[in-house]
Amino acid sequence: MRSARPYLLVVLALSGVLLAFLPSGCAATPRRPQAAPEGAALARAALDTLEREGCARLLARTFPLQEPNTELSTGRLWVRRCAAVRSATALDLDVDVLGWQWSGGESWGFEVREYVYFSAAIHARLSAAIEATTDDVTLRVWTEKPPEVHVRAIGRVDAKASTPAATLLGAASSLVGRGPNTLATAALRARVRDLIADRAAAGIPIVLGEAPAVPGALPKALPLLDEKESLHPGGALISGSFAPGVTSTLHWSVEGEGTALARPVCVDEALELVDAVVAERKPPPARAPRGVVTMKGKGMEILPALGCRWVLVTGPRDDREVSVGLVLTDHAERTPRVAARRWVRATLVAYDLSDAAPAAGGGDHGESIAVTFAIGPDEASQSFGRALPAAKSPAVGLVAPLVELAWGAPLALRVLQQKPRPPSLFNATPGYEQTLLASGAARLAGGQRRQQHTISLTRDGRVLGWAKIELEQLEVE
Amino acid sequence: MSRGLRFSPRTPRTPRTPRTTLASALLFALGACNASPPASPLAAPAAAPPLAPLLAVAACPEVLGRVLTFATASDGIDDAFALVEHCAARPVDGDVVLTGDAWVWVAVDRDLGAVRVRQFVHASLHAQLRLGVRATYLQDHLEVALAPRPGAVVSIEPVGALEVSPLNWASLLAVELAPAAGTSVEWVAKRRLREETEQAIAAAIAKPLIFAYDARRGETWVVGTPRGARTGTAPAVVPRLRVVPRGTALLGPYPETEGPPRLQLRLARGARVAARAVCRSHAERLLEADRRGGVVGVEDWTIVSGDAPPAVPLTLPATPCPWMLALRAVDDAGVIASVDVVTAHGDATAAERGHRWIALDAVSFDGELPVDLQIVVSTDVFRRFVMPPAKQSLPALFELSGGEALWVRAVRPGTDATPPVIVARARLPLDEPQAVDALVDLDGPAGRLGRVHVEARVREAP
Repeated sequence: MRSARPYLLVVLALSGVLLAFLPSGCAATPRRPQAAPEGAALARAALDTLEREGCARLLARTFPLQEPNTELSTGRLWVRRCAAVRSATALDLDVDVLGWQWSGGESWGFEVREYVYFSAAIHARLSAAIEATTDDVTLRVWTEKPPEVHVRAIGRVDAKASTPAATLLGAASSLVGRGPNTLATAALRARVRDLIADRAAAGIPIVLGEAPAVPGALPKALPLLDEKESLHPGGALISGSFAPGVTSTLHWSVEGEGTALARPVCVDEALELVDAVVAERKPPPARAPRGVVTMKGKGMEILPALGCRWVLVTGPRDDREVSVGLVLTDHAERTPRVAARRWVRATLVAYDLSDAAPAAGGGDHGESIAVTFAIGPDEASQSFGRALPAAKSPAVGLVAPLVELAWGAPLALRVLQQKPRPPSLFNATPGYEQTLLASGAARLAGGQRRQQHTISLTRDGRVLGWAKIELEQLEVE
Repeated sequence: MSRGLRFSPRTPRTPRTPRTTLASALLFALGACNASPPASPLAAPAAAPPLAPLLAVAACPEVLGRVLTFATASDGIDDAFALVEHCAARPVDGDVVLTGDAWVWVAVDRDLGAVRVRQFVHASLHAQLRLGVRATYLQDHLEVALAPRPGAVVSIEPVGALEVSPLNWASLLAVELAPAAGTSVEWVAKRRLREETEQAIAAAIAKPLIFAYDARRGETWVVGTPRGARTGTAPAVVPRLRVVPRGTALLGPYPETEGPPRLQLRLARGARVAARAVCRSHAERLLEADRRGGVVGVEDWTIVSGDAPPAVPLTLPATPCPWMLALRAVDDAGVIASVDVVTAHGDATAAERGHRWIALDAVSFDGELPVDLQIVVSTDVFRRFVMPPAKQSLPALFELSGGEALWVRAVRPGTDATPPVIVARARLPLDEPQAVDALVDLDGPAGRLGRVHVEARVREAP
């Protein structure tokens, strides 16, 4: 029951589907897949799944908007309404999104230096195919016809002409009632619409993942958030949403001398603010902010779990632009400044002591000996589990009780051979005599919550076998 | 009654939410993704059948970390449980090669030669098999056919305690004489169980299987089973579980409830079972303790008696997490329990709050303790003496899940004829991740017994 994060992965997948129709900066892929019979069956199932689960996933998160040709996030999209209906071979998707992005360029001949807000209503008919290459499996989603996109700017873009021509255009337009702000707003609308249409026509391949390369390999932990943000005065970026009850760790790297702020906020509170912006009404009065993290240089902070679904809100502290790299992980990386001890939970995964077992009567499992294992500090290892009546096993899965280790001390593993003791007149309970059969030790790496070790087991300098253990550790002061 | 172990996989019980079905397998597969446009738009990928690579991606997330239930006999009583710990899958020439490790525990009530075993038998399963695969879309659902290829590898490692009872004088003599032969009856029984189980599982997984997946409803079922066995909807048949000593029957996980979890239990008249709603990490610890052959106490569990048929409505203490229903036997004979859980809407895979690792550094008692009492601190899987001090074994590390507590209890030890009696108890304040240095009053029916001083370090579990 180790906790994977399927939920996050699902969200990523469906994000990919939506992002196919939004200006995400992905390359165009105009190829239309030809479905084989088996592929057609899978494609239909994929559309069924998207119909059932897609909107629920899309509504649960925000999507980054990036500067063209960069990986710098300067805006966000938030899906506010979603409906999906399956037809025979396609999925009709209706989505309303709210977006905001810093516009600091001189596009369209006007200098716009502010967050621009817009909403877009998108109707698209999606086709899907699942394809395999030698390297990966891909879900490809595309539209046969350009989607219908209606973009509405929220408020007006406050533009200043940046070129003589634009000045002239602005002045001339204002004579007929279309001032620079109107032109800039219209240009924004067209830009969003064109980007959505282009992406929809091109389609997008989504890599479906890959099997672990090594059997039994520890799952790769994906961060909740990993992006570089450009934060500007007058606005904020919202990331998430994330599940309640998750203690997380925020790592940051702020460029230069700037200072940024981050704060976990319950999603309902964030929605109040966002919906007020959409409705062009005054935002609700701000509550006293709690849990604000001030980010300067490089650092990390543990964000306590909230009892609600939550988002991470980030913005600059003052009126200067700040660029910050953020990584949010879903566990508390409680690495103390000076770790003095470790709390360790070990799982015996597998072992082979064939060289210690008498050759006769070994059988497939080497059944001529029975052993138990003890683990812990060198001077005080604790045995755990009943005797294993075999000299080797490819899968044991015995979890030892937690032990504490001094920092830098090795984790000792001892193998104890068990021999039954006949009951006596004084003690009717059968007991066991145990003798040390072999031992070994592992040196734990710092900063790794989970790690795996294969320990060589020796006695009197002779290697008698090995044991594989998985460790989970907490570094404490 | 003697019967061999037969594994007939039924539709997994746990997937009562859409995510835990094959629907989720596809979603999981979709999920393990990132948007990754090819470098060249015109570079068409090599044509390859997509099913095997897709299943290689989807199969493991479908089962990894989940408790699956099975009926080993045709009576439909769930008596076998499996938790998949490791899983790897890869496509090979249109087939899927699966390698996995699972913890399994099976309620056994049978004779092994001249001895009887009536308890949960715990084991680790390692298996590797190659499956031919085929997919078709029929009416409203996808069908995936799995055809095992010859050459499956199955290995079983029995763990935990195995208590055997001799059935006759000859076997009693064998029990006595086994140590002289350098073995024990427990080991002999385990080796025999291993042989039988390896053969039974190898035979079971050699049979072809067809899974159906209705993606629009989020339902999965094995083709050939009744529609009522579909997952994702309320089951038409209330599950029946066999519960015997030395193990925990687990159902769930179910989404976190705002109030206490509610369910109905149906037991035979006179039968008793211990029930508790547990977070997943707590369920893990119960399982780990059983696999070590350790003692699991049920002092904090709800004891349900079948004296009030047809069913016992039950409200369990709430947990701050998606919860699993844990059932343990109270009596040696075990029980068969029909369980109808009232499920809430929500995410059964949501993260758990309040899971802690704790270093219990020191506990002392200040007071006049009657000579016939002992003082212990305990959860269901962790236990340490406070009084008499000579029996203390501290410091010690242990875990607590959200909503779980460490209790200090004054206990009058039992005898062969009488169970121990708890005369006083108090909850130790180990809820927040911090250093704890606290005094707790221990009050009994006749007044204050004394005060308990506890020093501990509490941290959030990694």
